[in-house]
Amino acid sequence: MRLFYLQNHTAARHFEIPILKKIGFSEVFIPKKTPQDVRFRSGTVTFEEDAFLNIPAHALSILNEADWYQGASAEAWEIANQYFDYLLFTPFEASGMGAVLDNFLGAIILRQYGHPLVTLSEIIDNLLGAEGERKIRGLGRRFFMGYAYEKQNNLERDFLKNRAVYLPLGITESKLANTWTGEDKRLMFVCPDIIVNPYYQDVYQTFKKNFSDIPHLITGSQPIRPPDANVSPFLPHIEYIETMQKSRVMFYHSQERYHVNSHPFEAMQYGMPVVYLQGGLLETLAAGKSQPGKARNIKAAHDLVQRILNDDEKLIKKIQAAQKEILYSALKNNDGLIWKEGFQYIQEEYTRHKKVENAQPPRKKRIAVILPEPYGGGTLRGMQVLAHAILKGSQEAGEEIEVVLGLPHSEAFQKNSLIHLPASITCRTFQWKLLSSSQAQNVVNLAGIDYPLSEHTYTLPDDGIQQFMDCDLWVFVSDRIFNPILPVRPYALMVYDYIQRYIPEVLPAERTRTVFASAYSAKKVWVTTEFTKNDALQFVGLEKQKVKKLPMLFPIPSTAEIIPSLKKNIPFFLWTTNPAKHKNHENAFNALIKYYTMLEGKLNCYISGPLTDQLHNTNLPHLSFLSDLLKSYPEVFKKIKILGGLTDDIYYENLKKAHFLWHPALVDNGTFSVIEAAYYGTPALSSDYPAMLEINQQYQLNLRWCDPHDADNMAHMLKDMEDNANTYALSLPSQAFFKEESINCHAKTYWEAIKEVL
Amino acid sequence: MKKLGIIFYIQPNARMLGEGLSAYLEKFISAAINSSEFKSKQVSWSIVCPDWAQIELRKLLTANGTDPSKIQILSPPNLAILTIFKFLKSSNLSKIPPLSSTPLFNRMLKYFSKIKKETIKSILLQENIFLFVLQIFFILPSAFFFAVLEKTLSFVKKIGLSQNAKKTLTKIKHDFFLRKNFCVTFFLETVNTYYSKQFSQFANAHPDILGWYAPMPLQLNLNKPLLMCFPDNVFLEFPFGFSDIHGLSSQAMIHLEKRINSADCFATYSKKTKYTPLISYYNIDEKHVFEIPTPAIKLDNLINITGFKNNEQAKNNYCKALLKNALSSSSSNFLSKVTPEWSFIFYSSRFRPNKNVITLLRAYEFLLRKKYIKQKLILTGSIYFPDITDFIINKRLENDVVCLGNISQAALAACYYLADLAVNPTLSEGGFPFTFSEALTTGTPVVMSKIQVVEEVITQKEDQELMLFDPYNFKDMARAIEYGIKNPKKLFERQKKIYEDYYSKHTWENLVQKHEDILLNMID
Repeated sequence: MRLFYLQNHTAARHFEIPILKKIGFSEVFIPKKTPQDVRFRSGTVTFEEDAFLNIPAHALSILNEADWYQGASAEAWEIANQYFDYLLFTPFEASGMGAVLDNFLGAIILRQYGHPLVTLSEIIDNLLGAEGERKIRGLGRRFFMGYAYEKQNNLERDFLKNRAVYLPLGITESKLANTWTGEDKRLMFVCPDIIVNPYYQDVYQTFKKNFSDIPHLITGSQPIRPPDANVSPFLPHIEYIETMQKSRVMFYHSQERYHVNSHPFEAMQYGMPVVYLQGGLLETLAAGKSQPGKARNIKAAHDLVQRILNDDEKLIKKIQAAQKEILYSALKNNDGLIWKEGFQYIQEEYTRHKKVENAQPPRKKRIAVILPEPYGGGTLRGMQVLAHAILKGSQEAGEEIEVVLGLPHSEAFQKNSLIHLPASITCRTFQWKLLSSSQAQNVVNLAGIDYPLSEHTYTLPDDGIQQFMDCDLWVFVSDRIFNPILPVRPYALMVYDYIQRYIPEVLPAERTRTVFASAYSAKKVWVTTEFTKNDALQFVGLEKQKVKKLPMLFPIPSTAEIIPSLKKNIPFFLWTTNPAKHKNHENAFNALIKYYTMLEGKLNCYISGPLTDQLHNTNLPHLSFLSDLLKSYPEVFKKIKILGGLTDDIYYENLKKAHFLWHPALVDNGTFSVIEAAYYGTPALSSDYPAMLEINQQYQLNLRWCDPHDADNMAHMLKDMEDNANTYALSLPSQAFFKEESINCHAKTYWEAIKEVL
Repeated sequence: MKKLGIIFYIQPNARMLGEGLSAYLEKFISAAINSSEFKSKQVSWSIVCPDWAQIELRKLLTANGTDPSKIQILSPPNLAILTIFKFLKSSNLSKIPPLSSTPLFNRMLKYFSKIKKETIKSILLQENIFLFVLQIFFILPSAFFFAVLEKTLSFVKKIGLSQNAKKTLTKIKHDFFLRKNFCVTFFLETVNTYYSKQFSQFANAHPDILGWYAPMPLQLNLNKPLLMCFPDNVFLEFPFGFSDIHGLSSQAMIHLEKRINSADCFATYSKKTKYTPLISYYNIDEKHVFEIPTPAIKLDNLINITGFKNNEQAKNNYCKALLKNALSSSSSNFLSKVTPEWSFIFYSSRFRPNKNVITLLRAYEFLLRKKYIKQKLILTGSIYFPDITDFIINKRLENDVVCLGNISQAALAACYYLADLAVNPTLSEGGFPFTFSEALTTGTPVVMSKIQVVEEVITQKEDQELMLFDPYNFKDMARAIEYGIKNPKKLFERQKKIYEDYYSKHTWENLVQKHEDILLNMID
């Protein structure tokens, strides 16, 4: 039998691998890449077990190359699943733990060794949130918690406790038993990580407070050495053993009931007297037998240590003799009988799981693509293209799923905009439902999860049917969700931009934080430009693994018919905009004034876009300048024509006829309008900002640039476009090129992104 | 063997650890101990400081690997009034656990049981009984009363209120804050007057100490030569700014001239401070003022990890953990959820009027919103500083500018190490800013204000153009920061050279030696 031993703790490995061999796991794989992290101090790498592994060399080399603690590649997991039925691991980081639960298809044994401050349930909550418990419950009978110390399982919540298997941790029998000499009249205290670990810092300070009057030596690895001459520098293993053999006495501090370090056992095996505090696991192991090394409190421990240092031979002998009881208890599990029983249970359960799984009828997965707010324009279009790409990707991969669109119930919302979708994508409307904390906790508990919620309110998209609970994954297009989402389904966010970082007025301060919160709880945040990716990391503070850049999806416009009324040939350029502040109206209008008055611009300017017909009569403060401008330059405004929101056909027709397209916005995730323009052979003049530079590069648009903060520069560039747009049009890519960059090309990538979170 | 003394005094409410002076003292004392040991005992040092500072000093030395028992530390008996004040201070209202878990009464009992015999003696020896009564029954309770009001308002503000109501509350709270500070100031000022007298008497009662060094301006009346450090000139330069924030400091500075008159000779960190104000304003004889620049503050030893296959990566991970920890204990709740894999610009300083933080914020806003730099800006001042907080909120920079508040030295080292660039926008300092050595020892380049104390060290014109900016011009500051972000390696390599040249001449051992030489001369 073969087992994937996903942990590198040295002392645990020295005990557990021989036991595993004893009970029939002749082949064991141990990871070779370990986190370079002070929290991973006890981890070491060994290649010893590779020789026994009966798997192809190239497969082994992929396993060895993978970083299992951060999350390995799909290929590595495929190999792991091909060759291993059992995996045993300890959690370290969220990404690594999530990857094990998501990717390993055999029996998973989560090891519980005990932590001085938190339970394993809490560790899982911290790492994965409510998702952790849901995932583990979802694994059914192939998940196990292998606890190391008796009764330790009782500390955990049901989702772990009910899957507990006792796999006791013992000690390795030493070949150097009774080699203690004790000539170094110092107290030995093992305390690693003094500087880097707050727990051990505390242990160290308490020790120093109580024992600094006694000659002492503190050992243990120190990634940063504390400025204390009594703390030994790094000791190679042989010297460490020598120190233990020579030091007169050891003090052991821990009073934890469910965790004990290995060094007091090592010391006891050598014959070194160990003084320890009552209440800990050592006392439990002594099983009520008299223990002269046990101290009621620090003062008693101090006295015992002092007596041993003062050559109290009688006491030393008594302690040595009594310690044998503890060693006997600790060594009694080395025959592996309990492990054997444990693994028999694991095997039975795993077999039952497989049976149930095979008997279950296959079910098509369902994904909800939800628009949280009634946005039109680019976001609405983006949502449709996304849904389409997911469906197409799944079909091409032969893993077809269902896609459901969720649209907010709103009168302002134009349903007729949903025109380019396959019939199999169905559509529902919904309203956001607000839940109080107690209501929310109720829902979560009824959904079978004990995870304790911590926010005051939660929200849920209520479709009036089943609140999208029939869907396996929710994908929100945009992050404008203003309350924490109830953690009953995993969700991903598609975020197009974080304009609020650059133009804060677009979102009130308190809403920015709730938008952040929705990203923190998401399983993945997808973006389409490096610029937005940077904002997700820098502005929101997401971890790198959570943010994924997907290619921009450009919907190929359906060929429009020519509308007769537009046949008149008045030369113009097109400015697509809306009333939002980041569209930079003030600078743009000032540029237009200069273009017409100082530079004698000849082209008319047509303004199109949702709500542009209200530009003149709005109360928005950033547009108040317009009325004055209109009074001062009536002649200029005769050249400016507002078309308002257009249907796609009319818009494309205008686009085709325009001399060029103008995009003078300040900053955003970039606009598809310049790509559409290029598709119809119309060049574009755009503001120079990072996302537009990326679009220009991906689609090879040869855009002309203007400075959105400088009206003069913009006016001159308009004039330049008037003179040279025809030449610029010659360098645009062909329509065939755009078809390459469309949904057809990227559906696969989108499906893979979905699979990562599904 | 000649015996010299270091004499210093900190107010009972001052935080000693983590501030510039304590770092300076720790390094000075460690070097002094070493120099006593290695020079076959020609010179030895003792320290005289208040009782409350002694405890902190011992902790500080131990934490940095210096055995405090190797140097004599002396303190006059404690004042009863201060014991009570310290108790009130320690009962930080926001930190008191629920009464049920730790009854206040028990805490008081526990505390008073620790009062020393000397304390009781000093109650009996209290010189001015009227002053004592005034303090106990009026001033301290007033301070306590205003503190309670202030805290209550903080608490009330947390419940859902309209923006207007919150603004009004903030104003009232600020008012209480000022009143509380006034009471505290008044109290401490009277204590200072009384204590400094006692302090000098105590020092004079040690005739074996032949000369004194005070690392800060103090009003003393010593019968042996006194060399006094004059650190900076910021109160004279920023009278308005300092008058508002720290009543205590400005009150204290009124007595500056008296303090200066206590000393025979002066040490300054720079040429600038030597001339302005000591020689040109206070008419001190040029022969009596010595310019002794401070050595480097090295931070790398706090974060350098050994024993891993990839120590650099382990260090990086450790530093991120330190930053995450600092973030979660900072005032902003949302930061506790954040994984700080940020690129950022870093400025470490308490917020003070001379630090020019608002101009830095202007430069940062310009870079973020006009030049689209991706970096956040991390500061170590406390968010409770009205002008700066208002600027951050009004400009809606609260998600990009992070104010960590007081952080540990290890977290400070981590911030420098993780930063893309350190920046120091200060308008005035007493000596070459520590930012330079702190940043460079963690491998991070730095851009700084073009002010006299900086120009004294960075003397080459091309270097000045490369790494300095006009601190009064936010666009010039932005230019330098942008250059630093884009060319970190080039900047670092050049600065490393300057660092090595400059600090090879200025070590802590040299510094102690210079002080010893000056003092021995003064004694002769």
